[in-house]
Amino acid sequence: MADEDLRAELAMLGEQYAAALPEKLAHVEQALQGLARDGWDAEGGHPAHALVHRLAGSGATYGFPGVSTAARDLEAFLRDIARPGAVPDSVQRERAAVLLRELRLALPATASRE
Amino acid sequence: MAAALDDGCVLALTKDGEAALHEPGTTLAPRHLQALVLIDGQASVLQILHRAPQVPGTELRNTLAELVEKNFVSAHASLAIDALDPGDFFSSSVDHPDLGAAGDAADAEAAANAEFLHHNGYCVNLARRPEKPRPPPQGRKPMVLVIDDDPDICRLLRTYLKLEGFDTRAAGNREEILAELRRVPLPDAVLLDVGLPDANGFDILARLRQHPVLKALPIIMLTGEATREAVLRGILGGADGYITKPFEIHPLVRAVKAVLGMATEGGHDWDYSL
Repeated sequence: MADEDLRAELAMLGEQYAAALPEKLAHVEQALQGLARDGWDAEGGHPAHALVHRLAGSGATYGFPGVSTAARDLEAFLRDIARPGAVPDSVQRERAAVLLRELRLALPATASRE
Repeated sequence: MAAALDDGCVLALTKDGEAALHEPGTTLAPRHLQALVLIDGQASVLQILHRAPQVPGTELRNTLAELVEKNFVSAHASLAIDALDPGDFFSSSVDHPDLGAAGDAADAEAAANAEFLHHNGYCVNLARRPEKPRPPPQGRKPMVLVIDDDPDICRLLRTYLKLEGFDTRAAGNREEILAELRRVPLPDAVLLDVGLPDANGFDILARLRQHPVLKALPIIMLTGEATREAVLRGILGGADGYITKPFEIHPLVRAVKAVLGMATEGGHDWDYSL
């Protein structure tokens, strides 16, 4: 593949990433609802944590540092409250909802926040 | 032998020390890098020794002294706070030198760093050059294996590395990793995430370092595991580099080139024409 094609692909990757952010956030929201309902697994893990971890690690690399920062805050919170087999209490669920709202606000203007 | 350091000395990184941790291409030995990671500008020699109980104290003392001698680290006489009356210490007034703009800039930088570390943990971009030049692959481009389960990261890295003249392959789980490590050509370097769905990057690093064929493979940990302990684990485990996520793409490519012994600025050491 020629350099020009690769550069075009890089630009396209950035656009695709931004466009996919609302969907990724919807997945995080669904996963958090599942966590609130089912609790942490026997090892203290949950897909919600992995999804947020990915956003934290990739956001700034794709040019969206606010996404990384907000996702890192949510990830740190989830790590702090993770307990094998436990279900998050109402205070924890409310805090997670606040951090999710902050993550949504961190989405770039080009991405829909709804 | 470098002059011994007093246990109470507080150690801080110099510009060269910061560069070794944050700009790919250092030639410092792993034990020196490990010691640099332990230094934060606040801990004394004794406290630093306690941070790395797995390293013999004498060895770490010598390493710290060497770093001071080579100007990667500065040693500062400590204030013997334990010997002071806390009441006097905290109630008496003290004159601060006027640092002017430089002081403001330092304060601003410290605040920015504190905020950054709050969000990102211990941020490093560390990559060691090999002690001896690595022979370039014959008749092909250098191959980088990206081990990461995040498709967004894999796609970006693979595209960018291709643009920089590398061939790439990717693996996101245990099965794919084994398959890629059995394929020829073997990778010339590996970018290795830690948190994989069914494997741990530190375990993979350990297994690779024990493997008779793959033990010398340059490996850069590329991970969101940003605690000081995680960075130390990577270095002690034999990683050639450690880069925390989120990362900037240009320094990462420089890190790959550094661990391969390639020129990192102004052209290539290797001829890519086939």
